[in-house]
Amino acid sequence: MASTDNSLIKVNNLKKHYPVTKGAITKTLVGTVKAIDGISFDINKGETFSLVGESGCGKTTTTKMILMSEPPTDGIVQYEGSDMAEFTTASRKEFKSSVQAVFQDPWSSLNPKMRVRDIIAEPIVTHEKATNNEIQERVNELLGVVGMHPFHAERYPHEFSGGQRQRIAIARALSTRPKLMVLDEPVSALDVSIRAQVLNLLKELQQTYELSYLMIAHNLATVKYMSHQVAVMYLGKIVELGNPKEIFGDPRHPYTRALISAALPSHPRLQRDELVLVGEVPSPIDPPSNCVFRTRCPEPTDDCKNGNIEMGLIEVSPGHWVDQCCANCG
Amino acid sequence: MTSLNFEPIQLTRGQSIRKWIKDYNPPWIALTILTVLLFCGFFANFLVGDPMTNDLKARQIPPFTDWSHIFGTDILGKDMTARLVFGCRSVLLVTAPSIIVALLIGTTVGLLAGYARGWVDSVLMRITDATLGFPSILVAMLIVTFVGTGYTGVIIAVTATTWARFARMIRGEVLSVRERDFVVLAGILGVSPVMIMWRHLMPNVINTLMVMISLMIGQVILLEASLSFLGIGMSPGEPAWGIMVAEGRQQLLTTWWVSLFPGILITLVVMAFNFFGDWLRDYLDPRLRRAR
Repeated sequence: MASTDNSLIKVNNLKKHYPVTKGAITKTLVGTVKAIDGISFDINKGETFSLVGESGCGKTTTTKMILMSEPPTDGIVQYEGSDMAEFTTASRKEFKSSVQAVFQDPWSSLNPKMRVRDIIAEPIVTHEKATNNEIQERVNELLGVVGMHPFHAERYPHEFSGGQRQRIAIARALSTRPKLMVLDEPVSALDVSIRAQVLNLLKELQQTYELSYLMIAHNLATVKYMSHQVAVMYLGKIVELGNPKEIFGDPRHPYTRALISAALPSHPRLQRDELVLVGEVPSPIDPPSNCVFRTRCPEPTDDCKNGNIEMGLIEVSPGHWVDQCCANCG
Repeated sequence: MTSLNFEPIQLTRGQSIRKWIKDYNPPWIALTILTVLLFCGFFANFLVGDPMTNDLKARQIPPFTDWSHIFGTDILGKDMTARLVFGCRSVLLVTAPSIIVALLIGTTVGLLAGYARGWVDSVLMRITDATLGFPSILVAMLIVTFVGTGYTGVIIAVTATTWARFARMIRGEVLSVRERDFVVLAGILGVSPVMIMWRHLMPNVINTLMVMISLMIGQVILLEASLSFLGIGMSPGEPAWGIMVAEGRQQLLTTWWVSLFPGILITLVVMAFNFFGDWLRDYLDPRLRRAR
């Protein structure tokens, strides 16, 4: 794939299969859920890489493996050129301090029994040896960076609004000066009027600190605004990958087109092409053979079914990759 | 004046106490009973005479007939007032240590089982289930047989049968807290499991724990009284309420007061702890505050 020297994370043919077992004592394998089935992409330094797709397509599983909270079944994730599966204790610790996450729900991501100061300082306390004064200074500075005041440090999370809580979560994620931040729907729980503020804050931070983001979002407007690269996922596979201009301006895959047509246009008068897919997402336990999308494709051919077309992504224009089977369909 | 910087209304100390009382409506009767219990327990030896002295000339004096023995005397002429007041002390001496030890064991087991899950959870919870499934009186009888009657025996017996309830409760709470994002995030960050339990799980189950403690104290008092009544608790003659009920049992028709008064006290104290626990649960749960 479009690999450059500028990449921070390299994901190569990543797979995550969960066994489905039956029986309490003698466990028999009745199938595997292919949550992720061979995906590859790069996250560049200082750029935002977004994953879009409907619920259950494997976005969150992907982030879990990149955050090392779950081991992959197969495939390689490289961080700054070194394989994460072969991390030593020291490099693992270093990785943990340079990768942080911000989750969707700011009501659940802050411990209600800790003061804001301790919440923000937790990554520092975990990974560095700092004196109380240094921590205090860092916390105050971080609160300033996310647009809050030092006196907020003494308060508890329930005293803040959703937007402020998300700022606190971002300040916490910034505290160890990470290189990669995983944003799992960072604004979808927030009031619409607050979203832009938080997104702009994230953009500013990206420029100031050269941060890379791995973002999951359902709101395509958010994705378009934030991303440098977008990957559209369907049933554990990436079906289209490219920069947002290409993906949203010239979508090649029918699934991408359906996704875009399902989103509200930016103006109510704007005409849009309605493309509604029929049927349901197939079960990941028993995905369709060959092209996974063929059961819902508006124009499936016999070739899709009997596998006469080679699988995998092909480059349709520089940096714009589409699943081979569907690239030619529509 | 059109300034928007209005000053928050400053309440005087008296006003804010009154407001707190109005908002939270504490259970006055229960609190009074508990205060009296604590006071009598701590200062029993200053309040009344010796509860163990036999005065055979003043046996079986009915209550409210003799000013020097307001609650009467028992069959050996021991002053009932002194025995009732010293009973408060033995309630405290049994309850406090057994609750503390049961709490420590139960919380540790519950935290470990809930957080580690897997086989650790299975093993610990099967032990807990076994403990819960055994009739507590039977366990207590076994333990007292080995250790002997008296404080130590009762405390061990009570602890052995109550820790499992704490463990079950804490495990359930931990299972729900551990799925919340801040615990997941701490795990991603690389915070050690011990620190996650201490910093994130423990503070978030403490409310439940407080309520549990106040409700369990009532149970423990009942259990101690039952054991004493059966003669496998405190040593005979000790001023414990359960013993007193048992002593009066044979002469219930003539010297009814020997059993009646400690019985009433057991009921009052257990109910007081239960009412206090109920109130505490409402008070600590912000969603239920101001509900009434």
